[in-house]
Amino acid sequence: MANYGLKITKASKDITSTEPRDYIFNSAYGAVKVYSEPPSKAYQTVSCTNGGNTTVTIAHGLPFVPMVMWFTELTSGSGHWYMGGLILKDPADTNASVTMNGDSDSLTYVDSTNIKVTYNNVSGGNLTIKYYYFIFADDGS
Amino acid sequence: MAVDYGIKIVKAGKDISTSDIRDILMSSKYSMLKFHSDSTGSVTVNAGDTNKYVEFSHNLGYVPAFVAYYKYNNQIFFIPNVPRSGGFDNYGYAWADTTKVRCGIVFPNAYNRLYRGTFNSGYETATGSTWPSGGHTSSSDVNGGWTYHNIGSEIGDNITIPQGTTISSALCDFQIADKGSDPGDVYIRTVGIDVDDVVDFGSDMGQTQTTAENLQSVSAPLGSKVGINVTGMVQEVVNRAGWANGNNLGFYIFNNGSTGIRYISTYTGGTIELYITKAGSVSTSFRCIIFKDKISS
Repeated sequence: MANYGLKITKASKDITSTEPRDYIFNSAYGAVKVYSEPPSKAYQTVSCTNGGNTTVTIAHGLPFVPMVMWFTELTSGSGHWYMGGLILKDPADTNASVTMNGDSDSLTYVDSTNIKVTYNNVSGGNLTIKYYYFIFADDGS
Repeated sequence: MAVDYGIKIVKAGKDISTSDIRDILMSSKYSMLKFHSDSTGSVTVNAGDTNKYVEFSHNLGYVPAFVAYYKYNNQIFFIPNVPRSGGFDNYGYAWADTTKVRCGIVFPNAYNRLYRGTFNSGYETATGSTWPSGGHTSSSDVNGGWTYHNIGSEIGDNITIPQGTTISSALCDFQIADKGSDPGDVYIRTVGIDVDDVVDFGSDMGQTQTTAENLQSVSAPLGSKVGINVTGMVQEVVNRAGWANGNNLGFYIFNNGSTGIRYISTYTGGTIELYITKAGSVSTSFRCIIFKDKISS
């Protein structure tokens, strides 16, 4: 029976280990591949006008719905980056914030063409919001 | 000829020249998130706490990508989790900056808070008014120089405190609404009505069956929030053999020697609020996996 592939274990772990967590890489399991990040791997910004929704649309160029990791500095200038964009934040972040708006399917989603994230700003002023993302070359749906 | 080299591993049965990126197990053309650390930590959430967190230092010098989880009541949640639009009492959060990842749990209404409600009827001696239906004003003069305004209140129905529950704290919220030109303290005497289930007592401020009293001197400045401590009173009442979940509580609040103009008034929106928290604590643990991949400087 064929038994071949590539395995790299953590230091002191045996190459015959049956514990997946002992492996740094194992071709039997594969790995999540980063397909793209923002240009120059620099965070992006979007101007969010007070009192409404602002949508970021990214064409991912993959023929399927990919896995995505998304980070947002919810409170502009705070330096605090949250996974996703829900308003469920640290109560210590008291300054004006946006929240990811997923009230309907048309506002925040990933499909086989785009990643669309809609920020809602009811802070009372216009905000410049930073975001960063990882698009993975693996199925998210 | 273009240089084309690297390492590529495809799934069993797939050709190395596949055009479907999902067939590739690993390719040097695509990076992978690079593991930095995997840390766990825990906090003890005590009665009345609203926000507890742990911080995981990463020493990367930039903001890294991360994922975080928290465990509460033996259930593990991914952060951000999406609580229901209502009916949830906590949520987890996590954020990263250039030195650390902070993971926390928030109890919007405070951990172990049994009750937060407004007084639903009351009486003021000086004005003779009952409220909220009888012309209650938002302030009550504990020593206005003309006469004393004492307050009696019966609070909301369905107070969810089982008989004999150990109370951690119970506070009535007022606000220092006026201190005139005298910066002195406001002296308040508060007693609970020591019966199983307070009924609307109308203008009767003379009930004799009362709990131990609380004498409080409030030196807070004008506009400050005043929490009248009624912990012992609530404990005394809920310890009564006849107390039942859902009964009502009542209190009298008297001036106790304040001089000059002294007003305490309802703290928010024309209501007087009572917060009751039971004793107890819980441990919440967090797990944070930090990657070396940068999302911001």
